[in-house]
Amino acid sequence: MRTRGNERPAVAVRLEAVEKTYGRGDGAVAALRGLDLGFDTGSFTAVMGPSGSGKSTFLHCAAGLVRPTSGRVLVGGTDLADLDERRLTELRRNRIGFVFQAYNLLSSLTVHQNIVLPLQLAGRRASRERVLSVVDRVGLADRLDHLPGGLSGGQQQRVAIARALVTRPAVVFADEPTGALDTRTAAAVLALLREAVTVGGQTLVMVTHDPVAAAHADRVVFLADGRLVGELHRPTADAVAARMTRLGAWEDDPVPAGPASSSSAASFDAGPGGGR
Amino acid sequence: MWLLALRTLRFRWAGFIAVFTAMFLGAAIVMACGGLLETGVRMAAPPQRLAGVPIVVTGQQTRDTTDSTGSSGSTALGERRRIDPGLLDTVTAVPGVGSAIPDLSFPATVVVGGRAVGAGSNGHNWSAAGLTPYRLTGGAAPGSGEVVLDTGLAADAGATVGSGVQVTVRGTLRTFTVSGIARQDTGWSLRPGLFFSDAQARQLAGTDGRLDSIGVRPAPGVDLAGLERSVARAVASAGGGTATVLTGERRGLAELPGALSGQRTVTILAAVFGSWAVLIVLFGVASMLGLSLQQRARETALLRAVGATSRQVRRMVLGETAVLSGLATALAVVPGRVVGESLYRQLTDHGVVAREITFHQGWIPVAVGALVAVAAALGAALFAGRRAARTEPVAALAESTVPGRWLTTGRLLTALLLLAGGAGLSVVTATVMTDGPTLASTAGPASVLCSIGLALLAPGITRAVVTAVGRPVRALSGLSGYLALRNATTQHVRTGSAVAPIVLLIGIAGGTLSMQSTEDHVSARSRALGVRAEYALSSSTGGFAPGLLGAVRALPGVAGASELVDSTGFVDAASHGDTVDLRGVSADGARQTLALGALNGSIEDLRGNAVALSRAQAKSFGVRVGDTLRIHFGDGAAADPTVVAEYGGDPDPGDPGRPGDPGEQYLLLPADVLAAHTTTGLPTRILVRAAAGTDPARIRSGLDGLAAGLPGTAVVDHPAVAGPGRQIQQILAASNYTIVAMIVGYAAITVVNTLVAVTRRRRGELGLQRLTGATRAQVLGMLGVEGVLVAVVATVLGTVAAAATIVPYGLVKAHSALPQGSIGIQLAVTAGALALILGATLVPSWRGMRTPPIETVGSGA
Repeated sequence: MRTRGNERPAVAVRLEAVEKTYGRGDGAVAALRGLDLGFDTGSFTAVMGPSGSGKSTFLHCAAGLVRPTSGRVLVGGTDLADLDERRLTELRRNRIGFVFQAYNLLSSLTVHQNIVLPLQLAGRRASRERVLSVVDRVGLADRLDHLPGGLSGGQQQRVAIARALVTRPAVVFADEPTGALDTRTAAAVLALLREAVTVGGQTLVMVTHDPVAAAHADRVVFLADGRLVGELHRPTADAVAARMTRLGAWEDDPVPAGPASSSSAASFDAGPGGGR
Repeated sequence: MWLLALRTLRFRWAGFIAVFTAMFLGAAIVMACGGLLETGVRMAAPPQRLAGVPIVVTGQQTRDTTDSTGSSGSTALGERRRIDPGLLDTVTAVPGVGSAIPDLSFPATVVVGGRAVGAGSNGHNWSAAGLTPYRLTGGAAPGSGEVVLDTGLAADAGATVGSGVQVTVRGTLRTFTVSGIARQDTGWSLRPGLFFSDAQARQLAGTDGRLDSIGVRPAPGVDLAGLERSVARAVASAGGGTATVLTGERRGLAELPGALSGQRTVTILAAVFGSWAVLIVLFGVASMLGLSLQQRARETALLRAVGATSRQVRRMVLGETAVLSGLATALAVVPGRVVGESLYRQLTDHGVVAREITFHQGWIPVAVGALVAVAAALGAALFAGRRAARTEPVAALAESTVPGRWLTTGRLLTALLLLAGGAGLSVVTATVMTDGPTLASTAGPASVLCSIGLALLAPGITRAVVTAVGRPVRALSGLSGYLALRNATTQHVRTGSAVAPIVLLIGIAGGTLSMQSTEDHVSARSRALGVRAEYALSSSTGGFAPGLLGAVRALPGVAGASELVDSTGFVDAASHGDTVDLRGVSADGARQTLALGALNGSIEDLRGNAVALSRAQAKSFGVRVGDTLRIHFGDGAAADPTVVAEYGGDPDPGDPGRPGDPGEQYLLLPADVLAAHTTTGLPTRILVRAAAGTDPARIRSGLDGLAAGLPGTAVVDHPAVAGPGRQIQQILAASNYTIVAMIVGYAAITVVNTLVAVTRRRRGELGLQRLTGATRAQVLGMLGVEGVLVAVVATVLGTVAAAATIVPYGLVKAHSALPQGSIGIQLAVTAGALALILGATLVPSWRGMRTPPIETVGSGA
């Protein structure tokens, strides 16, 4: 286990009883139904679940992109509900980094300009050493003046990771970061993310549907039907795949803790009604 | 955000070409209008013949008016107001005046071998030669019966000192001895000049001794500004407000009687034209910026996700626009001047403004034009940027972009406001406005406002129309039609964005072109309707002597003849500033030569202090036969003629002349009375009507014989009678072509830009269709039906918008809600729009389909 066991782990992001409903009346769709989840500082968590399980909505709520219908989202102790749109944006650019599956980069900006963009938006000067250390880490020092259009998918994803890390955010959210990449490139990108956690002490939350990708995490949490339905520590790809298969079969049922050991940081929640 | 804005501009320059072009054209036109406005305000004519004296006293070329509401204004006179000769002594007596030199000008033409030499030549008094100055190169000053010719004229006439020349003045041919030859070195090419002795010039000019101007030469060492003030004071106390003092660039106005009457036209034109340009820049830039932002919505969302605030996004859009519009405006400075000059040349070519008035486009109109253009662009960016700034950052994570709600409250309100404004203008045009130079200024913008309003609502209307025409289209076009309809209904926002620019194209172009064709048609008809005479004698040498009319009538086969004097004046009962066409005719020839319709009273009584007017005018001025009507002539003189007849309003079936017909807006006055108040002082045309059954060749040869005896006289077949006032309207309408050309260019760019972008975005969808088994032809067929649907919706909406201009304009002009004249132009506009739509849709799709469908599926962007 790579979490710093000897320190008392601070919680980087916490979701408390978060519910999110889209639409109104008959057309209302509940995407999250009372989700409680916490992410320790310096941890790497993969979030998995079948399609429609609410993992995208979870990511949007946790990252402050979407406001939950009810419940609280705390990033580094700040309740996002207390922030207006501008402060929320500022919090996002200072405390949160993003890595998406695709469409990650502004095609008009060079690699370097893309990486320092969040700093510029914040009106902060990009210190050269900080940028260089990030660039070194992702191995793009020789391509700083290239435009994204000339880079391969894996290289583009590294730029995106560098951009997410450059502000030294409290937490980095990655949404299917390897979804558009081949196996080898994906492994390299995941290694890079892992390194950000191990070396940089960053907190990483990654939504994925790929058991192999999830196996790089310290912990995998499983969502189904807008609820937390289980988790795995020190996962292997096979164990994750097996759990996913079961989730696919009993999509609507809460899954008992089973083989996964209970976590001290993230409480397991089977839902108040015990499922439907 | 500036860096980002600049990078985006550099990287995506192709996408900004349309925005840039819109700004560039708009800025150039706004600046050109600024130039016209400055020219109109300054009305500067550099002195040419009067360049030799620093101060010129001349007749006030405007008339101060006070209308019924008590507001006062000043209106330009159409004819020269001459000044009292007594003023010469007044000016001479002013301390500091070295000499005061009288100036007289009158048409005088040298005739050699029966042909006029030196077009546009004028006679002057010899002392006026010092105003230029002209200097004798040989011979001596003229005495009685003698003339001094300028060098050019002497060469043309082959005259030398001592030889005799024939000169026609006021329609009479005389022989003078050339006493000398004079030349001027001002550098201007002046009109050819003949100089007579002062006494003889006064007699020849026939102005009862009144002077055109007085040139003031200061005594040595006198301060010019102080002298100007004291001369002005003396003139004001003696002249009673009818004389004015000109210095500097404005001295040239003394050479150009009636020049100021063009001022109103120029300023109205500049204002109307300029405000349209601003409106179009605003909309054009907003729509094109909106489109370019829509195309990179995902990038904007990404920016928001990595931490750009809404404000920063707005600032980025503003930054882009500021850079673009700054560049476009800077580049537009020179073309703006070219456009301004060419617009102005149009005005001078049509005689609305005297050629001698110089076009001024100083830094002020350029700066103001640039500011207005940039402000319009930034206003548009503010509008477009608000939308972009609302982009949800979460959209960057979404798999596909869900089209946002297109109908926002702001959009609906804006659209309704514009539609209400357009409808309001339309109603005002039809009910309040009278046929006059300002008619186009309310009629024209109505279709512009309606077009923009309808374009804003295009997505919703598109869906409604598509639903309505669904069944027949499906029946006609089978599977492609079915698919096209599904697309148009479900993607109504996309379809609507293609419809909007075409609505603008058809609405504005159709509206203005119809206005133009109605104008052309009505003026042609009224000119043809107004005249019964088959022939006219027309003088280019200053007019006909009174005896000629009798000679014409004496020709065999002539049923009637009338002198004709064209002028403009004012009726005090009309709203101030509105000029009225005045037409001087002979009482005993008017009926035969002019189409006057049914008469109340007797036109034969039109002698002396008398006037005749149309029934419509009589009604609006509140007079009947027997009343007096207070008028002012074109030279500012007042008169109270008695109404002796009302003409027109003939209810005869088959006679298209009706009350209020545009041809019936002139006052008839006795030719000799009116001529005395014109610059030339004589009738310049004689209308001739042949008796029924006369051999045309016979009467023609008789007229040719008369003309041969009067150098500078031409015989005209089927003469048209158009008052000077009508020309202004034709110019205003003619400028519509420029506006239309601009709008067509704008709309064409937008249409192509929109459609190409839309089609590109659909590559994936089209690839999918081909993968599921559609042939290329089927896909193209579907796109073709979609294109036709877009064209149909746009044509319907555009026509509705155009009607906002056409109907009221037609009602006022021609008493018909339908456009007059040819509809070929509108058909061409519609056909052109259809060609644009199909071209911009099918060509990129066809090209796109050369790549295997599997590669385009999923590429999405």
